[in-house]
Amino acid sequence: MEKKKKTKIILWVIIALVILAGIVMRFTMGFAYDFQYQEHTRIDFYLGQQFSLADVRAITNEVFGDRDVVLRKVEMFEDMVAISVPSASEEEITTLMNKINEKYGLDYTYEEINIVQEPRMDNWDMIRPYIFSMGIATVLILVYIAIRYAKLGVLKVLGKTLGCLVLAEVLLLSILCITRLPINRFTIPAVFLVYVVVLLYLVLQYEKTRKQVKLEENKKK
Amino acid sequence: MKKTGRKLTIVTMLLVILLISIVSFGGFYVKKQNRMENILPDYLLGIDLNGGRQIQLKVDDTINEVVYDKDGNVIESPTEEDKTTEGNTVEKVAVNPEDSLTWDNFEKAKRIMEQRLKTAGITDYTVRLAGNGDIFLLLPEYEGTDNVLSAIYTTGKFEILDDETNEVLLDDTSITGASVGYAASSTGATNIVLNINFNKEGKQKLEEISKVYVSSQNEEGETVNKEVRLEIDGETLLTTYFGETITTGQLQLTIGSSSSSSITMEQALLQGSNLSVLLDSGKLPLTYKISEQKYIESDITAENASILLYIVIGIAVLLLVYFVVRFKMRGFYLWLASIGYVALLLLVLRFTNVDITILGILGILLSSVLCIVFCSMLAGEMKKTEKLTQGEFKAMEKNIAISFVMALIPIIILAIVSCFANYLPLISLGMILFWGILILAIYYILIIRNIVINTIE
Repeated sequence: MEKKKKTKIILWVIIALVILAGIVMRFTMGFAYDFQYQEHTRIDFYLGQQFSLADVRAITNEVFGDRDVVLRKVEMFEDMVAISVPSASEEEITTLMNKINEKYGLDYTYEEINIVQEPRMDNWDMIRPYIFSMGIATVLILVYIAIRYAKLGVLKVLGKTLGCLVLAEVLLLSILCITRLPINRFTIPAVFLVYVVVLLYLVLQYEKTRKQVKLEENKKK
Repeated sequence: MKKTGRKLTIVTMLLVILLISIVSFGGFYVKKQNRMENILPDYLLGIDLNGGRQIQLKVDDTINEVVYDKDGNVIESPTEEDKTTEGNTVEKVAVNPEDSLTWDNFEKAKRIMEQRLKTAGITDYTVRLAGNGDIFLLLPEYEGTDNVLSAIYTTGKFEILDDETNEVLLDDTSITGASVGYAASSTGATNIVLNINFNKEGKQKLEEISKVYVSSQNEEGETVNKEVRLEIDGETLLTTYFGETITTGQLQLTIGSSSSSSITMEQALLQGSNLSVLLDSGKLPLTYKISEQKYIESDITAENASILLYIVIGIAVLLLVYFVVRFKMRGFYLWLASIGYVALLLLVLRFTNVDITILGILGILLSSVLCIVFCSMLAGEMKKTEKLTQGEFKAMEKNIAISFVMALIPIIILAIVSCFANYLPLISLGMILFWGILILAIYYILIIRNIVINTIE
C-alpha cells in the first residue's frame, strides 16, 4: 500500500515537472510548428507530362538536402508540381529549375517560375472551429456525469473529470512543446484522442465505483 | 443447441464476416462495357485528404483614370482624345485608396470572407491572411466552387438609386440580413425571392421610397413610372417601381419564377443564394482580384496511406496474438469479428456519403477501439467463469452491456454535438462515431453475440 502511494506521488511529481517545463518552454521558445503552418515558399513547375513524385523528390533532396519539402501534384491532369519549402534562396530555386529543366526537357527561366510566399496559418483559426462544439459537448457530458454518478459526490466527480481532462490536455501540449514535435494536422486529432480516452477511462471507473457503492448499500439493507 | 448446430452457426457468421470484409476491402466488381468495375461508391474525402482549390486573392492595385470636363463633370468611358482635350482634367484614382490598406481592413475582409463561406454552406476551408493583405483560400473542389468563389471575393456594395438622377436612396449600411426563399405568386407560380431586411432607419427610408417610386398617371392620363435602380458593385440588378408601400422593412425581390422561361429555377436559386451571401455578410472594405487558382492535391499521398495501412495491419496482428493467447479460439473469433466490424463500418461510410477527414479517421480508429474493448470485456468476463451456462452468460452480458453503454454516453454526446457543427472535420468525426456506435450495437446483436453464445459448451 505504502509502495503504491509512493509510486503515485512520484507519478504526480513527474507530471508536475513535465507541465512546468512545458509552460517554461511555451513562454520562452513557443510551440514548434510544421513549416506548412508557418510562412513558407511554394514553387510551381508546369512539367507538361505525367510525372512521378519520387523523381521530383530526388531532385529536391539534391537541392534542399534534409530540409522539409512537401510535394503535391497540381491540377486535374497532374502535369504540374507544387514544391513547398520553409524558405528557398534565389540560388536554390535556380538550381532546382535547372535540374527540372534537365530532367523534363524544359527551358524555364527564373522569371517564368511561379513562386508564391504562402502566409502563416493563424493559431486561433486552427482551434476556433472546435471551441463552440467542444464546449457544448463538454458541458453536456459533465451534466450527464453529475446526474449518473451523483452518488459518488457531484462536486467530486465533476472536479475530477474536468481536472483530468484539462491535466491530460496540458500534459499533451507540454510534451509537444518540450519534444519540439511540430504542431501539424495530426495535433487536433491527438487532442481529441486524449479527450476521448480520458473520458472513457474515467466513466468506466465511475461505473465500477458506482456498482461497488450500490452493492454496499444493498448489503446494508 | 447441439454441438454441430453451434459449429454451423459460428461457420455461417464467419463466412458473413469474410464476405463483408472482401467486399469492403476489395470492392464489388461487375462487368461493365467489357471491363470489370467496382460498383461501390467512392469514399468522400475532405480537403485535408483530397486536396482542393487553392486561390490567391490579391488586393486590387489598379489605378483608374477619371476624366472631368471643364465643368467638372465626369466623362463616362473617356477616349484618349478626351484626356488630352484642353480644359479636361485627368485624375488618377486607386481602386483601393492608400489609406484603406490597413491591417484592420485586411482582417475585416478575411472575417467577411469567412462569414460568406459559412453562409454559402462551405464547411471545409482554410483562409490565410498575408501581411500585404493578400488572402489565400483553400476550398473543396466541386461543381459549385466557381459559384461560391464569385460570391466570396465580390465587394458586395449594394445601393438603391433613383433611376433618373442616380441619387443614392438606400445602401448596404442599413441592411441587417438577407435570405433566399420560395414564395407563391398571385398567378399560382412559384417564385424564387431574395428577402433583404433593413434596420429601423432603413425601414423608414424604404417606406418613404416605396411611397414615392410608384406607377402613376399624369394629367394627360399617361402612365408614368418613377423607378429605382438596384445595383451591386455598380452593376444593375434590376430597375423597378413599387406596387405597394413597404412597411415591414423587408424588401422582397423576385429572382426567378416557375412561369418564366428566361431563367431556370435552379439558376435563379443559385443567383439568389449568391446575392443573399453577399448582402448578409456586408461589404468588403477592399476590392480583391483573383491572382491565381489551382487544384492542388493533398500532401498525404498513396505512399503515406500505405504506411498507415502497414501500421494498422501491424496493430491487427498484435491484437490477434493478444486475443488468441488470452482467450484461445474464442479470442480468434472475436478478433475476426472486430475486423468484420471495421469492414462493415467502412462499407456503411461509402453508402452514407460521410466525408472522411483526418479527424474522421480518428473516428474510425475510436470506433474500432470501442469494438475491441467491448469484445475484450466480454471475453474477459466469460473467462472468469469456468463452465458458463447460457443463463449466466445472459446475466453477465446484460451487466457488461449496461456498463459499456453508460460509458459510451459521453462519446455519443460528443458524436451528436459534432454532427451539428459547421466544420467538416468535426462533422466527419461526429458522423463516423455515430455510425460506428450504431453499427456496433447492430453488429453485436447479429454477429458477435451469435458467435460468442455458440462458443459456450
